[in-house]
Amino acid sequence: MLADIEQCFESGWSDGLPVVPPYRALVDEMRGAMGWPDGDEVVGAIEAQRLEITADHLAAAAVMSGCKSEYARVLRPLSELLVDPEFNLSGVEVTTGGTSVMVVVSGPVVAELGFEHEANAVGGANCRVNATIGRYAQMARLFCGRGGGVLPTHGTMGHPGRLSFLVAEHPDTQWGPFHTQVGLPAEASAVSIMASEGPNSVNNHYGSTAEQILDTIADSLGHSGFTNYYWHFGATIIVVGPAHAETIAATFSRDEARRYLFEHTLRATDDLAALGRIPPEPREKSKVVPGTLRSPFDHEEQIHFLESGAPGGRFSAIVPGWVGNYFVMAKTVEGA
Amino acid sequence: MVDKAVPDELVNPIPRPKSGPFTVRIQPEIEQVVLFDNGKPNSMAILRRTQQLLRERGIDVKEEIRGKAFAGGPVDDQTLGMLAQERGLLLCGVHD
Repeated sequence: MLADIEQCFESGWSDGLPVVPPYRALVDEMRGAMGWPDGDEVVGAIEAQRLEITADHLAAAAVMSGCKSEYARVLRPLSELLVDPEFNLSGVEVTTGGTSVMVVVSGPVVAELGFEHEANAVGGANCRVNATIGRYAQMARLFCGRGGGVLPTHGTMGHPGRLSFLVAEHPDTQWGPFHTQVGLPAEASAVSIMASEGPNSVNNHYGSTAEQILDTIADSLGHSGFTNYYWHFGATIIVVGPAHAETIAATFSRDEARRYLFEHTLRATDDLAALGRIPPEPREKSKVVPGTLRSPFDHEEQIHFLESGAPGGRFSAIVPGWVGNYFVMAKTVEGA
Repeated sequence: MVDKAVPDELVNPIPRPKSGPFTVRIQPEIEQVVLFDNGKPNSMAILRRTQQLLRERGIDVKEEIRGKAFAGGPVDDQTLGMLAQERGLLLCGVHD
């Protein structure tokens, strides 16, 4: 097996870490659990690159990332999201933005499969189901997003989430499950994805009002280096820790909190331009208006709240989306 | 490595392109530079400057700079078809 692990490295079948070799028997078992009897079934395509992504390709990546076959009920809808042309998988892989696939799991499946949703929930939870499903999404991005292995990636910085990035939401939330923000029913289990930059921590230990917490998040969100300023595109997920969530929810509904953030995350357009944060020839759809205050967002629906993290500290985290795709995409997770 | 008869076969996780026939013209037919904007934040400004510098050196550069509709995605088929008709040296960029 060690020789096969080395063979995977030499073949470029690795994210830089050792993989479980994708032996045919393991791949067949995984593919069957994912609900694809035929390994040659085309699950998705990147037409501009003449790529067809088959069930075998995806099942192999699931095996290699260390997933168990019982995770297949999440892996199947996750795979369908990844290969959806709207997600622009190859763009996510090769962009200068150094982007990862952020995976969000919400609803009853969090407890059913034992996802860690408290300690170090945003990264480094050291929990197999979090780590391996998160790794699978990055492997699918890596293996399927480079035009068959010929395109270079141009990520200027990248971030650790390009190896694995999955955040599970608390089964019990203040505002209802994450996926209700993208049109799925509250009682469902769901998996969601967003192309993302790296997360930023937000600390407020002594604020006791919703406004204090949200103002702190707005200030962190609206720093002058936030990529969104020049184009206005890209979703953002605010991972709200339990203490912050309790404080905010005592005053605001989720929609009200979102509106508050949208209205308080502002910088002077002229200041941004003076810093070089606005292109000399802005695109019309970026809606640059000199002399006004500028939000990094075009509309408030780009902001999403996710309730996760351990009790104790008073932290939240901001995960900025990639400006090259605009949405959080979600699917229900079936079975139990 | 993809022979299903091999017991320890490893399944390739990387899809490969299924390309149809295509031709590549490696030498321009006319002495002209054609610039194409990939839509990155400062790319048009850089390409306009490039256009200016090349012209100062006596190089013919086409005035129109076409671009991608969406920087994060590939060039659409219609634009690709138009670019294929160009007879000069086509330069695409830039990453800023």
